Amino acid sequence: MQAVVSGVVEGRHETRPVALEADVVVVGSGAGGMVAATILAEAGLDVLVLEEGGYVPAAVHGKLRQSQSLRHVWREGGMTLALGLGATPGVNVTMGRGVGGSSVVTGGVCLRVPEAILATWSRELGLTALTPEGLDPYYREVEAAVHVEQVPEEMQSRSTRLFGIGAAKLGHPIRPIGRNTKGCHGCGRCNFGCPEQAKMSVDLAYLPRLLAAGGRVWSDCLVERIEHEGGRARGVRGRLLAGPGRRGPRLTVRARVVLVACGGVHSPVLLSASGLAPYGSQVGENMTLHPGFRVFATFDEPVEGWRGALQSAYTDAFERDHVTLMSLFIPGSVIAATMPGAGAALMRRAREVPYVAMFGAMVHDEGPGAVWRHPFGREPVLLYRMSEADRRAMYRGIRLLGETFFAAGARRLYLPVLGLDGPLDADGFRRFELERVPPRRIECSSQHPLGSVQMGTSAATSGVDPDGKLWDTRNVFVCDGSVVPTSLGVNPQLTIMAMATRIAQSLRDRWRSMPLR
Amino acid sequence: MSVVRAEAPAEEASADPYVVLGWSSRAARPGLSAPWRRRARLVAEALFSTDDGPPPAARLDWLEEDLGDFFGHLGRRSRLVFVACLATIYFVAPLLAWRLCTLGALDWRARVHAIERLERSALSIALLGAKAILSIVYFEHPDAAREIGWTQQCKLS
Ligand SMILES: Cc1cc2nc3c(=O)[nH]c(=O)nc-3n(C[C@H](O)[C@H](O)[C@H](O)COP(=O)(O)OP(=O)(O)OC[C@H]3O[C@@H](n4cnc5c(N)ncnc54)[C@H](O)[C@@H]3O)c2cc1C
Ligand code: SF4
Repeated sequence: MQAVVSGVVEGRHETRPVALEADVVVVGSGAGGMVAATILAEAGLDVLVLEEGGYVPAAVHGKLRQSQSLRHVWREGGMTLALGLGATPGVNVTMGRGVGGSSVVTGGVCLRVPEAILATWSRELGLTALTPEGLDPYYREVEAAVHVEQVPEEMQSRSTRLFGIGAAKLGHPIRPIGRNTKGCHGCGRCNFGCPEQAKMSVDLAYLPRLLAAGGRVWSDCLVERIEHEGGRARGVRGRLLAGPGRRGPRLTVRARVVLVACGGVHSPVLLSASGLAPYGSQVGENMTLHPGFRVFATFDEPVEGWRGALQSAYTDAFERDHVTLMSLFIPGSVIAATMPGAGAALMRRAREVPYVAMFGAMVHDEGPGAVWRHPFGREPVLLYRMSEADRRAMYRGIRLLGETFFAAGARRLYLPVLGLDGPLDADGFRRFELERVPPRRIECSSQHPLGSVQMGTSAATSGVDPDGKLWDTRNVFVCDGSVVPTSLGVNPQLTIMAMATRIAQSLRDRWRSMPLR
Repeated sequence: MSVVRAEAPAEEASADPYVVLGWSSRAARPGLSAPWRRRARLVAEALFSTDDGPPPAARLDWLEEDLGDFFGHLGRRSRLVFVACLATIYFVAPLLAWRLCTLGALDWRARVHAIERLERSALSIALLGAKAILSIVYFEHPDAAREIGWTQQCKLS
């Protein structure tokens, strides 16, 4: 018996082995996978999407508590850690897991890649099609599909406005950003489900189109291996999942083409488990993370930073320092969690939550990091090493955030430094030798694992060719964050969707010449 | 055969807090054993105490149950990480406060002191890990959220 919710087949209810066939099997239903699947289904191909996570309809997700979103829609409750090698902080890497992938937990930020980055892709990496003009039609298509609109000023939270006041005083004014929203009420909880279903994540913007075109989506299906011989894939196999970590009946799919879209961390895991990442290949290497840091400041007046669009403004004035400053807000419960102290001291600080403003800094990093498949567990080992430039950018970003908040009239500052006794006032911050804090004591997070199967022009330096095809295979493609050739310095979802559109359209156009299974 | 469930119904019909729009979210079984949930509770009792004493028992009961559900949805690695963090607090923190016992043997004031010592040590990352999860769940209790002024009102309200 099959359980189908809003067109998605929930694999967890299956009690017998399942064998399916399709023209194209897409592994992973996130920003890359869902977009590519939709384009191929609309071209008339028989498309099957397999997703490891469950299906939490957007209407339900918007009603969950934040911690419920974490347990149902975020991979491992948001508790994945990349181990810092050398003078590098450990990085908390967060990802979505479920129909819609990480796209359902974004802050909605939609930015195109800066032209300077695209120039290095075409000039230095030889990816001559990935120029501003070359990518423009794909960006346009995605921007229309997910409804990118500029956040109106009145939707900015007070937290962001206060930072903006400081930034203007210091001569680096913030700029509004585009987000994929339609009818946003500004409740600041986009990372944990949108109560208004206003955030146009791929489960809302693409899934209905995919299903209308006859595409099939199965949730709770973990693909464990791509079946292949002589460089040609025959399909995939894996397990239906009866619950977290509970492997259910077998699943096999025969397909003419396999499209891998498991995200920047899990695509290399699947390729490696399938024997498609031989020794010396670039699969699992070169991962960048956009390490991020947030600084809280307390003000005398109430801020209630959750009132407003979660993310609404940014500044790229420090791109030369490899830092982007970006507005954000996190739930009151998480702010309280990161405040120092215990007992009465912690609770006194937690009562400051309504007076907290915050802003983030993201490093346009070199890294690199690596993904190692765990021989016994589902989740891989992630390693990350910061370059000297990344470290400088990290300290610079934190310092800039602090200075800007004090320029805006903040009272005190909570820095992302482990083991600090409490917040710092302006004098304390000026005297504080931030740059001498060992990187391991810096609290760091990442939402953007990228480039672990990067696109390039030779197998010696990259994982896939300029069309997204895995080197040395005939019909295995990758179309997610892992193919992004370098760190971007801006949030990646729009670029991932644009690149997936490009890869899917080129596959569609070459379909007749693809090998039969 | 297909059982086609309709779109989520518009009205919330269930009194079960784990049923949302007809969609059941309860974990098949708690992801933490009873002894670890009890230890988590002891840590939370100290962490969230005020000058007036620990939080009400009913709120900690709620936390204990919800924490079980939280980890019931996660894989083995996250559970192990949380238990490792909790174990560090439970067994090592008292030693840092020169008490040769576990956290469970201390009254709540002494537990607060031991946790503060751990926070200033090289093992502070373990405290951060456990404190993050405990706080995220604890402050979602409506009374706890109210106490810290976290109203979650939106811009248009
Ligand atoms: C909290 C958070 C906030 C973010 N905010 C923004 C933002 O505001 N703007 C922005 O541009 N970007 C943002 N991002 C980043 C953006 O969401 C991701 O870069 C993007 O969604 C990645 O797309 P993807 O297709 O590579 O992977 P994902 O969207 O992560 O999708 C991969 C999917 O594959 C599934 N999968 C993995 N392995 C398997 C397998 N073996 N079998 C079956 N399924 C599998 C996963 O469960 C997952 O659902 C954010 C990310 C996070 C986590
Ligand atoms: S801020 Fe807007 S897009 Fe984000 S959750 Fe609230 S209503 Fe939805």
